[in-house]
Amino acid sequence: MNKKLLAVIGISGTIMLGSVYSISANTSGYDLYKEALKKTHTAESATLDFNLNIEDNKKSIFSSHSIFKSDSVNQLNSISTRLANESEVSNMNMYKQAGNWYVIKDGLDQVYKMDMSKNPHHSNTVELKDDVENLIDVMTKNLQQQITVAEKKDGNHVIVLDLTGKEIPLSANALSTLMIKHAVMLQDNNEMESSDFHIKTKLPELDHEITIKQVKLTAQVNKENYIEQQTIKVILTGKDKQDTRHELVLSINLNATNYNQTTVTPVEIPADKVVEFNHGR
Amino acid sequence: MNTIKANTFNEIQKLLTKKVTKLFLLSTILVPVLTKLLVNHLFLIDWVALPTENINFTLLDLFITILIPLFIFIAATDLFTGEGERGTLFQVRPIRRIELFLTKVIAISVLCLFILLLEWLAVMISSAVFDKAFDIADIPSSVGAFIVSWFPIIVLTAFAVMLALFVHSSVLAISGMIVLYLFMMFIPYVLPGSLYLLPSTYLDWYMQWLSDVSFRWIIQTVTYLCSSFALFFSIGYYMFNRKEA
Repeated sequence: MNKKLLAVIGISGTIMLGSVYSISANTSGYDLYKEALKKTHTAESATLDFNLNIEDNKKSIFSSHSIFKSDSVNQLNSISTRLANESEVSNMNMYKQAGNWYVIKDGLDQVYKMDMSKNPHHSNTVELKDDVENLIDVMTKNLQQQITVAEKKDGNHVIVLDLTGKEIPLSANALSTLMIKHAVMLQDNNEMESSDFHIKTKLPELDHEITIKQVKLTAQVNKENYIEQQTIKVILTGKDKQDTRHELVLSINLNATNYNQTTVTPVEIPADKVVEFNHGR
Repeated sequence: MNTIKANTFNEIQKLLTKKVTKLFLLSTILVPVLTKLLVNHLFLIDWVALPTENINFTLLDLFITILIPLFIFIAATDLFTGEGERGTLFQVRPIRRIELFLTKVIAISVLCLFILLLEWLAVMISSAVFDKAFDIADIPSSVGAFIVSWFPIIVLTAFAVMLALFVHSSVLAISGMIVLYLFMMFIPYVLPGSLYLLPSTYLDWYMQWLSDVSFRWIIQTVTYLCSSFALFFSIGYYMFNRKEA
């Protein structure tokens, strides 16, 4: 009797360990994306084409189009941005060279200089990143199974995470609605001190029945494991104080090209037009 | 077969006469009703419109990750460690040890299924009464989710029974199980490799049945659940068999 029992214990224990091993070895779209993200961060240079669009009931209320060229070897960056809301359009160019950011805005004669050397946001250690990675890995365990991967003929992978309604975790939904509610309140407070840097967006003031309807993330990863395209789409619905229903659609489209082949040419900054701009103070 | 049936009823009756079981059954009905009442009639959260189904599944989560494990720990401690202490574990009855062990495990599992179904009923009825957006079409997926959740709970039952047989004091058994369970909940954040080794990881596996499940994943997790049940059950029985009457 005892021998039989010990055999059952041994066999079931082995099968259990085997299944654990095979579950852990599942390479999901999540892992593929994570690896690609890491690889992409190591790229020395790239050109990013960044589009952001916010629609309110199918009407565009804000859009931005930027071309971002980055060369981390020579510490050179250039961003050219076109912002538009319902009525205005504005263009802006930013350059990073010699450790400083310079902002040139259309229609303004001055060049703004931002001193980024005192920026405290660069103390991320590798250890912290690993801890955060573990935390995210465990917290998103159920979402990871919903990520699908499709391989295209040219060897690129398309990774999709599409969450609608009940699939969006309750806590995430509640937290983001809370944030939106507060963002609207903050926008009200800031209205007075408008800076002439950015175009103002008039977001509808959602008041109740706010909920996230859909979150869709897609990424295309190429053969070299670089992320070539990334799109994010978030649909949010809610009602304002007058009980009018709003459907806000936020879409972000990011295309990356010329990995490790982008060259950024420094521009001449006329020294007499430079104005110091205190960032965030 | 008849002895198994008879003794299962006997064990269930023993559990049902306990105050703590009654308390659990009461909370199974009260928690969903109160949650629905709060969500729909409290001004504090009127700015958010959370999907009704989402709240129903959060209630299920609360039960399968906190309340039902707690009930399992209490029941396993009572039926094994507690009876061992009182000396009533092996009665003078024409029942084999394996039958006695099996009926006790079945009794706890059946009561867990009963709690799950009762909770589902309470959620559905309170949802039909209080929610504006109650949809009958959601019933199949929700009843499926509640029933599917039963399987990892059976594994946890076998796990708790195994632990209950290792210790000789009820207080130590129940507190040890709770501490170990909390530990199992948090250890994956430190050691991600251990995540799929722990039975607690699979408690909320119903979520993956709701979306498109991959066949491969079903095979893997079902293999895990079956083999880990066999492991815990047979280790438990090994310990049970060695006990002196």
